[in-house]
Amino acid sequence: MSLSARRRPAVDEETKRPRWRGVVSPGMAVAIPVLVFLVAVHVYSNELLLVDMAIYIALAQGINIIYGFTGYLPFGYFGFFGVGAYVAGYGIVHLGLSGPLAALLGGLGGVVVGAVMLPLFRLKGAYFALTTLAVGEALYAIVSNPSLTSVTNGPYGLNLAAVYSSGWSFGMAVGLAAISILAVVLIKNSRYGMTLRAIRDDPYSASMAGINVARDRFYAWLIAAAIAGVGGAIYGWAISVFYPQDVFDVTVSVFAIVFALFGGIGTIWGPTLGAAVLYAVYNVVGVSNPQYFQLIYGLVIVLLVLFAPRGLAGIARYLHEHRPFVRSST
Amino acid sequence: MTVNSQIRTPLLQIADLVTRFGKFRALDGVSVEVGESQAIGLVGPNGSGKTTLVNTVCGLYPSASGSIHFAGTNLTGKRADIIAKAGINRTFQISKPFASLTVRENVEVAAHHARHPRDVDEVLEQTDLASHSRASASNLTAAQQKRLDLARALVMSPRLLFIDELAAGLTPNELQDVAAMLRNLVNDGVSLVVVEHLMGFLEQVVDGVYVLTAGQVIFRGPLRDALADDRVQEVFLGRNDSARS
Repeated sequence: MSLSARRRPAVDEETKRPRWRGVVSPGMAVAIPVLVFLVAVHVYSNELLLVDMAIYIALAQGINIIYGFTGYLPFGYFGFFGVGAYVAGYGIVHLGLSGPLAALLGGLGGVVVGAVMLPLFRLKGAYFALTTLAVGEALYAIVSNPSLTSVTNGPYGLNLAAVYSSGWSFGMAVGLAAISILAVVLIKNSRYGMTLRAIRDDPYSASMAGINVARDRFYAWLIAAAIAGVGGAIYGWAISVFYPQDVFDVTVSVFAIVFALFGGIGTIWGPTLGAAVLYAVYNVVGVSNPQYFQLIYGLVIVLLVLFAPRGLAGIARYLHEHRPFVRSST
Repeated sequence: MTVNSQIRTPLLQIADLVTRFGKFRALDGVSVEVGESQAIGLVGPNGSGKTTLVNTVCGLYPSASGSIHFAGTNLTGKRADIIAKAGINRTFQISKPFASLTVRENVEVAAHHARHPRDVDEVLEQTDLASHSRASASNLTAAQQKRLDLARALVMSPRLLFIDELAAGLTPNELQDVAAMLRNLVNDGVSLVVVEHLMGFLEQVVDGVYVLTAGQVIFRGPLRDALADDRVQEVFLGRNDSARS
């Protein structure tokens, strides 16, 4: 058999798309945001804003994994974020860990809390969303409790200024964003992603297809929890001094969810774009004029629900499918 | 001749099964046996417990008491995925496709999790869905979605299939095709439990029937005998002694 005879056709038989797009496009979904951050840090002076944006991209992708692929919306996602910040802070202050190691420990903290929350998957829809919110608030109440000051430092927060490193925390934040996007790319293009989408569409029907629904959904939950845990750890490290209300903040959940929905849930690019665009808007308008920001956010959400329920990714797909000059495949 | 008299070693043995919704006993001591390569029908008026029986055996509803044995294994209270991997599968009264997946992906995902998966293309051909393999499952007609339920079950090489009102809404020609397909499954060694209201269709497919009413089996035997049975007629036609006299 000649070499040319063994070569695979350049066009995928199923999708009719060039095969290179199947490899290059997911790769670009990771590479482009990383390159943008690496350039931005040299031309934009507010590095902490870039760290926050990278962390929100990661959190939006975490929401994408648990909500976009399994249909479970966790309002209490900030609980993992806060636990990650505190576990990492504890590792730095009491165990003398370096920032990167502490960040990994923060991710582990998120995973442990996620595992403890497993029974919540008996609930569905709004009941699940609100119960996770209650768990997040409960974690805040425990950590900020003055009577636990000897353990958590109570309402006085943690001071990590001794290990502050702007370069490392920036690099870790961008790395976390890249890993989160990569996780979504791998899930979406794998049998596991197909399994998760089957679970989201109909859990019982998925069970009759031989899927261990509880186990596979739990794995997605733990991945999302780990992302939020590491994100909280890097955030705490980057701002150096934080209090319980800074990291156990429901706004973290709301932002991550809105960013993911705005960009397009269940897609690779959507949450990244959503977080980048809306967090930029928040910093341009929201910090100086919060009343206008809330108005803009409210309008964006209303317009999104009414006209683009699949977010920016849905709009892009619609425009692509309805572009005026489409090359004929024949 | 009764349904049971044909069975030497039952493949599926349901004994005194009780399923409760609160205080209501939707299944009230149901016992059913299905043999290897046997097709039985489950008939009864609406609310008699037919689909509840399927849902309980297939792990959607927990049973309050009783037992379910399949091929010598106790499956009482087991998870649906374990039951599916053990060799029991089903179609749905209201079809449940994975709407975000294509037709082929719907079948592939089941094949991937099956213990003994069949060839996906072969199953798509068998269920007449090969030409729709790249279509989104949500774009299929209701009848095609029911066939997709069947394809997803068949790709897992089941030994016993519950067919829940697969014939509803089909044209007479389609009914003939589906009946032939189900008989072929039986000939290939698959046992069937067919939940159906269309007696003409059942007559072509099943070897015998169980008649349920109010969560209890009131008749088991050949379909022809069931149609002549006083209790069955009373359940279906509302006939009673006072009306006759």
